Amino acid sequence: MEEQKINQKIKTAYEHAAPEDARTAVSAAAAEGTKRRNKKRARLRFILSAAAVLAVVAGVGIYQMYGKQILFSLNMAGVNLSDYVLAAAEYPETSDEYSVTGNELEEDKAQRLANQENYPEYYDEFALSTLRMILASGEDTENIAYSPISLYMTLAMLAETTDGDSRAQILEALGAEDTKDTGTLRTQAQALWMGNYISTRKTTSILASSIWLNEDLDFIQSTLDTLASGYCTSTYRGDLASSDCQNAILKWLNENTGNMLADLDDSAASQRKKLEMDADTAAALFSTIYFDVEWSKKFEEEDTEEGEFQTADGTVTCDFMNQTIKNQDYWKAEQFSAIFKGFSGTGGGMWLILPDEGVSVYDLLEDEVLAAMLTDGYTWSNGHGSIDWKLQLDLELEADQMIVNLSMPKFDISSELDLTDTLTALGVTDVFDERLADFSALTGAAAGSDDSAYLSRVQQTIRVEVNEEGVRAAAYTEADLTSLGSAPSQTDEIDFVLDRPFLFVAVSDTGTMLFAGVVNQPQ
Amino acid sequence: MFFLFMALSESLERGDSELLDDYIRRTAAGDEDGLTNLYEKTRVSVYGIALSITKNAEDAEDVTQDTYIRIWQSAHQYKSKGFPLAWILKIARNEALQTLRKRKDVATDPADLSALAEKPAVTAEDRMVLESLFSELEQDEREIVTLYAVTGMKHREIADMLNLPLSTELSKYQRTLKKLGKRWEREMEA
Repeated sequence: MEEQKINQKIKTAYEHAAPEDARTAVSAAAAEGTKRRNKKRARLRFILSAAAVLAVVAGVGIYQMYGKQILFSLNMAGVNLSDYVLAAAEYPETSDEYSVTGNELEEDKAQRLANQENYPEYYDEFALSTLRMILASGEDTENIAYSPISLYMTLAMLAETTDGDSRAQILEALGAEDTKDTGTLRTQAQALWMGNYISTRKTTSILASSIWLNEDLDFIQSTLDTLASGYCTSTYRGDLASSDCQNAILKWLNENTGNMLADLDDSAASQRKKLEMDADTAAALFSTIYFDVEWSKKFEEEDTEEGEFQTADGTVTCDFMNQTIKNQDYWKAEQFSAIFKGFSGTGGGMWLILPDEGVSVYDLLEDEVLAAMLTDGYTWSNGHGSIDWKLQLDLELEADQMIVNLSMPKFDISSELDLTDTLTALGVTDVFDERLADFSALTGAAAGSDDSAYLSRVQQTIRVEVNEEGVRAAAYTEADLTSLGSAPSQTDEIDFVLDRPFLFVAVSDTGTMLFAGVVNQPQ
Repeated sequence: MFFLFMALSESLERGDSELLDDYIRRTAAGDEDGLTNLYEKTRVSVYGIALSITKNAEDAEDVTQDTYIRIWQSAHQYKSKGFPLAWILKIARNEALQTLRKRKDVATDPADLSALAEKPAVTAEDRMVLESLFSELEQDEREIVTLYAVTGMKHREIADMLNLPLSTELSKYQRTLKKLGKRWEREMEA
């Protein structure tokens, strides 16, 4: 039977079966909705608006040695975080590169990388599936970026503050449904956090979290203690509707994101308004990542030239950075080509993935070969990645070390993502439902009770800036992607020109996907 | 052979996104006519998703009602990104999944379409078609073919909504057409 006929029969059957009476249904909807709004007003003061604003910033390859000291330009005179703090998270101490030996820095790195054995096994799948879903949801005329590790940490913290079905749904969304208790989840999240925490002269990779509590409400202290010790979450308390407290929140956000998300032309009042906090807000949870690294092989500014980039709307002119890299891994599959450009001071780097002519970035996001390359292309050990040659035998994927003439645009892209839809698509629904949300682990109130709370939104804000850098010697061993197998040809040369929409995925030196994006418009 | 196409109250075409956006905006402003227009335009899609998930005609009507209550409540949160129908159907889907979760022994529950007996518009062929959707198909196959046949969504949009790789969605859709085609040809020969 032909397709069109089958679909028509199905459509007709549903049309005949569906309820028709609009008047009754609409009146009932309006009446019920009004009734619920009135009920909601009665318990507004206990509603949790846990707006998890994930401020993600990656200033990749930006700053010269002294330019890394970022100046906070927001006028926060008189704002004192210590006026609000209940418990301050302690961050790991790392060695000051100016005063210690290379051996001590290596010891720090080894200690950080030792956490890798406790990494959650399901993280790669979570990162990949959310990355594909979110990046594919963007428009082909706009840029989009997303950080899976930041969302993972927020969800893990939400799992701690919830119970019952609310918690079960979150664990399932993470891929952690087999995790017997949140203690295991905590160990895994902590390992992931510690393994990716770097704060040195050259490299900044810091995840930070805070929870801000309405001073009129009671919360369960043991949960707050768990968040502080397990997730390095600082706890603050105050009048969340007040300008002073909101200024303190903005100060915390800016301090933990190097001020890169602050719109310098925006007034403080306008920035407070964007927090969307008022007297009804019971608590707010913020999770940030600030990532700032240098390329291991920086671009020379004099080699940057104007070029043409093909967007969905036509051609635009922008600055292209150019360099020739010897011994560069160059990956080729049926629908795309890619290189992994290393970061300095850490074995991590950024995948730059170019779809073949006629293939869209969105087709590529469905490509299973790309997925395999991202998760298994390199095997990571002691902070270094080695090509997994077996992967290439299994898939139509080739990697060779070549001389690569790289030409890529400078870009500075921002996204503000409402992740509510993504989370509901992953099956996290109860926390958004005022009848079903179970935040009893944080508030002590059962789901659906007068004192219960629900999540009003989850949002991620991210900015990724990529450009060339000044000349500077690396204090760490340079990123060294070794290859196994037979000696590759050193004379093969190829041009890798990112002059049409492309994908990027930043990966740490443990192979953890940190953030990713689609560049459709470099300017 | 000629193809009889019955156009009922409102059917969705792809160009309706702007219209739906407008209806949602008016609903957000408290305009009941906005919600009425939205209902008339989308009720079949919402009901289709509700029935395909709950497998129960009576529950599906409740879920449809709950969906429009939820829309009335949350229309002010809607931000137009060009896919208003996807927003509406995600709400419907969530309501249906919640209903499903509250029932016990869901996996073994047979479909219950007895409430359709009260609807004079439902023909014998309609019943056969709907019953086969439950007897022949898995839930995700049923959702895919319902979304494609009723809503006009593209395969990529359906894959996004159901959190499936596009290739998986396409292969399930093809498999579903084969199963249904075979079953209906058997019915017509009998």
